[in-house]
Amino acid sequence: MLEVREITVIYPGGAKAVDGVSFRVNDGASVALAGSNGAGKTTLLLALVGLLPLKAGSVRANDVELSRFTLAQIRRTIGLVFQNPDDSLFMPRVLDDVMFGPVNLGLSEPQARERAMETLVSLGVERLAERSPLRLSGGEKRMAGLAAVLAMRPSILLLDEPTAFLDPKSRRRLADALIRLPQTKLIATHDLSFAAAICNDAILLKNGALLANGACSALFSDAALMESCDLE
Amino acid sequence: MHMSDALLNPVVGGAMLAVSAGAIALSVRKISKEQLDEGKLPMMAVSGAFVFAAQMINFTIPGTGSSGHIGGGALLAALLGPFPALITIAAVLLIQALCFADGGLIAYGCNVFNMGVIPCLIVWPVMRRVFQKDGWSVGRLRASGALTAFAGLELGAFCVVLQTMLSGITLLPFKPFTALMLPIHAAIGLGESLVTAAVLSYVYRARPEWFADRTAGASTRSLKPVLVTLLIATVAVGGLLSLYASAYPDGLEWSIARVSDEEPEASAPSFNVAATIQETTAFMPDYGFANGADESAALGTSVSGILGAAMTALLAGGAGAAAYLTKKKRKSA
Amino acid sequence: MQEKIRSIATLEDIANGDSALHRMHPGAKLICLAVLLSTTISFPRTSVSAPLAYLSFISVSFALADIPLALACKRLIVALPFAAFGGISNLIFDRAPSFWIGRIVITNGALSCASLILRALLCVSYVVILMAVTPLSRLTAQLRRIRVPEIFVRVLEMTYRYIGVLLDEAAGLTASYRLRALTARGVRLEHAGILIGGLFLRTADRAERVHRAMLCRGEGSRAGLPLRQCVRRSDVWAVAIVSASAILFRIINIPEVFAHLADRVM
Repeated sequence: MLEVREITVIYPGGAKAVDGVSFRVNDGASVALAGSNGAGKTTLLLALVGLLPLKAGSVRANDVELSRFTLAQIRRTIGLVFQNPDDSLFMPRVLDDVMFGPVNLGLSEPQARERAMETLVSLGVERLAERSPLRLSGGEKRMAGLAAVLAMRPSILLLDEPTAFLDPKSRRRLADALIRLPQTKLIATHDLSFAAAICNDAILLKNGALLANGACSALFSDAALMESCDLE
Repeated sequence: MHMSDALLNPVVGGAMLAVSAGAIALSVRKISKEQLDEGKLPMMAVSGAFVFAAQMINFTIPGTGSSGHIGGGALLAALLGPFPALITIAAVLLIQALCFADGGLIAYGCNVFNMGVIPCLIVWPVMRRVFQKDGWSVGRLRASGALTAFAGLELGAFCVVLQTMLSGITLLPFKPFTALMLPIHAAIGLGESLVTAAVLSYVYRARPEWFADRTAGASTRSLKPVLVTLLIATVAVGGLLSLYASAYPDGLEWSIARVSDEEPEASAPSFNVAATIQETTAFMPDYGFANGADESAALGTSVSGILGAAMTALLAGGAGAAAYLTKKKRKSA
Repeated sequence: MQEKIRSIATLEDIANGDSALHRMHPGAKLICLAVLLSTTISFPRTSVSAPLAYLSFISVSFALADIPLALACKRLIVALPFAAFGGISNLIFDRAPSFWIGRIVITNGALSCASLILRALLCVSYVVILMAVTPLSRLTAQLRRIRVPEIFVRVLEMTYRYIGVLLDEAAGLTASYRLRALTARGVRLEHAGILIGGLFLRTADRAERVHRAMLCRGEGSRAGLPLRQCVRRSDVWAVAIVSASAILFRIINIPEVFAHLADRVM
């Protein structure tokens, strides 16, 4: 379970990027974190894994509270899939990238390799193992980036604009893959149809603050609410 | 300015590899854990890729009609600090040598020294000492970057001359060689220094905080050990090479003799020492710089000499063909 | 720029092939390369015939590993000007006659020019072969095994990884510049600082994001990624054969041997 209480994150200039946001994501649930560009979705996700400091509030992931002493533990529990897969595929081959996390978890090279291949197979992209990320399509990079995080076996998955750089076919494939995943999921997106396909509930952000929280069907069909969030 | 293997002999190449390897090892040690925690490693790596990309951006030099591109050593030294910059340039040069045949592998040490050690560890720290004072201003940053680029390039070009002359492969005399290399690289250096200054000025205006802490790196005081090490290495290498070179008056002295109609003379004591070294290490390749006697004796004027060469080439090709056919047979079996 | 990206991509594809050379231990390949390079460049300045024997290594390697000739030719063209520069200067400065072919005098300078170019082409070919049969990840694993500093190896790997990404960005920048600056040639000097400076700032931002991605996956908790590859008997044999042949070709002038044989026959 992911529990977020009154968290505030400040920009370097002093303005609030995230302002007093609270919500809870239960085990196994998929929740959409919706908002237009600049609403604070990415900042919120980065703060949940301790990449940005919290000015106020607390984050608990499976009963472990986020602090500078629990960073390693938190990052084992929560996996973050970055918006631009080129930022997270930094090794010469896809297999090396997918092994990177397990090796850091302490697995031996053969164990890490086995786990990496299992993960790639589960996503149906084992053919990408020996390829360089340089040669992959947008969809393939997205799946490789997802595999790199899943190989660490996180119980909570955060995804930042997962449909960015994807064509419709790749979007569908990604949606199918995410639906099959048993992890608790928080998906930051302004692609509402994608969010509705995967998630039951949604959290709406505007200017860093929580605007609404509820079932996707209710929120996304409220035209006035969507308008106020600059969403369609 | 990338040197190729064929212009070097193994002694010069090996010596420069040792010096450059030492400089890289030192730079690695100078990168603190703190800097690594702050993300220095991905910064160095992506900056290496940036150098590749930046070198592809050709700019036109006004008034000359020619175009140029930046080298990167001076720019990286100013942006990343001397030690991270050297490691980055060394990585870039290795990729260029391996993947693009830009520079040889035996010559790698020379290239790292000429295009990395000189601008990053020698010139930039001096410029920073002169210009930084209590922090940077746009003007002083531009001046230091421009001068580093220019001086680094000229010094590097001069080192190319020295390394080539010491190898004794090319017979271009020292004076004409230098007279050729320095003005050409001065022209290139002018373009590079102007662009380096412009880039630094742009980055400073956009993100002045970048220069406040990142280029602090090591102060010039802590560079003293680096410079002392380099000096010792250079003296050791230079001593070894001068022993070697003076035993074989070809190359530099021969060229001088040709140009000035004087007979070259080997200096006797070092000649004897070098001769002894050669005798005891007779298995090592005999550089035979004296003259082309080996070859003229071998080939002479006979047709058989040419036939011999042709047969060798044919046999080499035949070996390849045989390997190919054997492989095909195995595959189809 | 696209050419450079394609060039890396092509090399990747070829290096992931499957042949005896591809399967050889990277350490063995590096030893062979070192022996070949040092013996090749150690020849006397005017040796033209003896180095010819080294062509056998190249032709056998190309055949065994199915290396496209075009790849080698492209790399050789890059290396040629430097070798030619050194060679031509010898042609000019060393006019001592060596021998005659009929009425044509062959000078020492001509011999050393030819020798220099031949040896330059040989040296480049060895490296082309190495990179055509060894993916960079295996080379870097070997570098780790011989205790090359981890920071250097990782910078090498990641630089290689991001070259294509940065080249793409630079290509986009310069294309949009050219379209709006209405210039077919390079970037104007006054704009070069802005473009390159802007590219650097994007680089810094990207590095920050990569660093975050690394932290999320446990960066800092281990040294390099070990890549096991056992040394087989065939690797030892390969090193022995290549080294012995290289040294033999250095000591004995094979074309000269054939020349004597030809003399006898004639």
